[in-house]
Amino acid sequence: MTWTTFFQQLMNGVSVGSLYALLAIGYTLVYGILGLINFAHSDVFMLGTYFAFFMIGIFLLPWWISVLIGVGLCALVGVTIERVAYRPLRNAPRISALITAVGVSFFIENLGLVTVGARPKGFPRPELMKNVYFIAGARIQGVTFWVPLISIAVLLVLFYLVYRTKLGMAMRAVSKDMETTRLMGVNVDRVILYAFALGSALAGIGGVLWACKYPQINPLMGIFPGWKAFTAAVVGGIGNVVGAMIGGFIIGLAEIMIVAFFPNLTGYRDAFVFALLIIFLLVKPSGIMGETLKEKV
Amino acid sequence: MFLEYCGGGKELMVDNHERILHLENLTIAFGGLLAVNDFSLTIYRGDLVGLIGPNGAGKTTVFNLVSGQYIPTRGKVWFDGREITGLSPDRITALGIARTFQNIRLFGDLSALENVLVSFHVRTSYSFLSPMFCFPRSRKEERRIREEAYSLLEAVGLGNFAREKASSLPYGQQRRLEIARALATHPRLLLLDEPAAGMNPQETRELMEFIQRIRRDFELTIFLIEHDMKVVMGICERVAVMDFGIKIAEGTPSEIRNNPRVIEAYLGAEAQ
Repeated sequence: MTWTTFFQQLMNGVSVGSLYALLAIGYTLVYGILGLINFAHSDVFMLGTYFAFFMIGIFLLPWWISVLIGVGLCALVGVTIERVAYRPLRNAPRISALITAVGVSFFIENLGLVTVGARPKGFPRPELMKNVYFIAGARIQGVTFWVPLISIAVLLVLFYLVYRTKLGMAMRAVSKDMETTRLMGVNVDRVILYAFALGSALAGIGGVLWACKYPQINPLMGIFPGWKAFTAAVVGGIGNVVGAMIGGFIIGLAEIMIVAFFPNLTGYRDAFVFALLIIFLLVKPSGIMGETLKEKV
Repeated sequence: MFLEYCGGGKELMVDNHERILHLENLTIAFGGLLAVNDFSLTIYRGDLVGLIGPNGAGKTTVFNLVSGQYIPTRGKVWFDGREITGLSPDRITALGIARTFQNIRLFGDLSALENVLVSFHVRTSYSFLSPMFCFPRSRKEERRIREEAYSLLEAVGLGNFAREKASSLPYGQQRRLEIARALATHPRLLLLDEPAAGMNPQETRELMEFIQRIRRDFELTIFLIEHDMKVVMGICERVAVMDFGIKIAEGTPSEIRNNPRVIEAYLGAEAQ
């Protein structure tokens, strides 16, 4: 392999990885706070692309505005899911909430199939993403160049939110001990709503960027990226925001590199990611950044 | 019995004292077990009241009922002239009741300062997200809160540990941090659940002085559960005793010490 192809693949891996990172953070935020795997998260990712698509296609709004509205609508959908499906089960056994999450996911996917149909639609990309750049002799697509940059900027804002603001502090406190946080006068339900809004907005951004990279959208497009992002969250240590980001980049790079170095294994690309998940669950189930759960007395 | 404490049964004296917490026939059943049974108690502003009883008597359950973690099966909780039965814990905290825990429940991953800052949510007027947008008002507010949190840490002797992770602090300091965190909600009534648990005699003596001091400095009413009789007899003006969910006695420490029912509950009937 030449240096330039390696560099191209590296950029490609970083770009896919950053998208997994965006999506993985939504899983990890909700898991950290509620101990719930929000399976509907990958469908919010899908909805983001459709919201933007329709804003552009029907309301003829400029691309950036449409995307912003789409992301806002995603946050709204996330909040609605929490309010309607998960909050009534706050004190129910975990398994009930988990099954509900699967149900919500199927509901959104099938609602999509019924309303917009299964036929893929072409997602319009701004000129910026179509440009081609030459960096160090390597030919880099605009998408591959801009997607990681935008993602990383978004991740930095997120870290600022989680580690430097009152809301972030409240989220970290809730994830540590919900009952005690409530006793310190924090309106826990509101903190949870914000966590869903934040995670879903990130999923929306991730969805749009994903659609820029793979510009065909359909109602089931969230499933595989969702599973891989979930894997990333587990590999990074589910519940840990920094871990989710690291996990995202690891999964993205690993997936691209396996194809780059072993082209005849291309068909096993997805299998490889899930093999990684199984290995982590066997060897280090708490993930890279996760702490082992201490026995509570 | 509290009539005696308030001045030999003169009802006028009672009226001069303002009730801050009034528990009225509190009862809670877990399945068939009556963890707290028909428990009534009145605490007046500025009091320091102790709650004692053998293990499993239902003391912490009373705290959980006051703080809103449990909703009583029967009975009412009144705080500062209004009924708070059934309100959510964060509402009750906002009204002015804060508590600490028998087994320390700090946010271990957060720094000491952040642990205190979480409690400021109650009283900050600006919204969650405004610090993102750097409004001058919220900036100023943020600074004021941080200063106040620091001074609270200093008040409990943790000024130098603000940046330490809460879980890395030694045990005694974690207890103090828990109290600082409770004070940050600006309570008028502070519930302390076994504050001296696991402390050596020296630490316990310091704790007693500390409790007296915060009571004075923060104008608190304090209701505490304690196993260490030295603490209870040393600082409480009034003591209530529970056994099997029922209040079996109430009075001044010396009255309690000589109460035959209390002795029976602690030592078993044969000891008499």
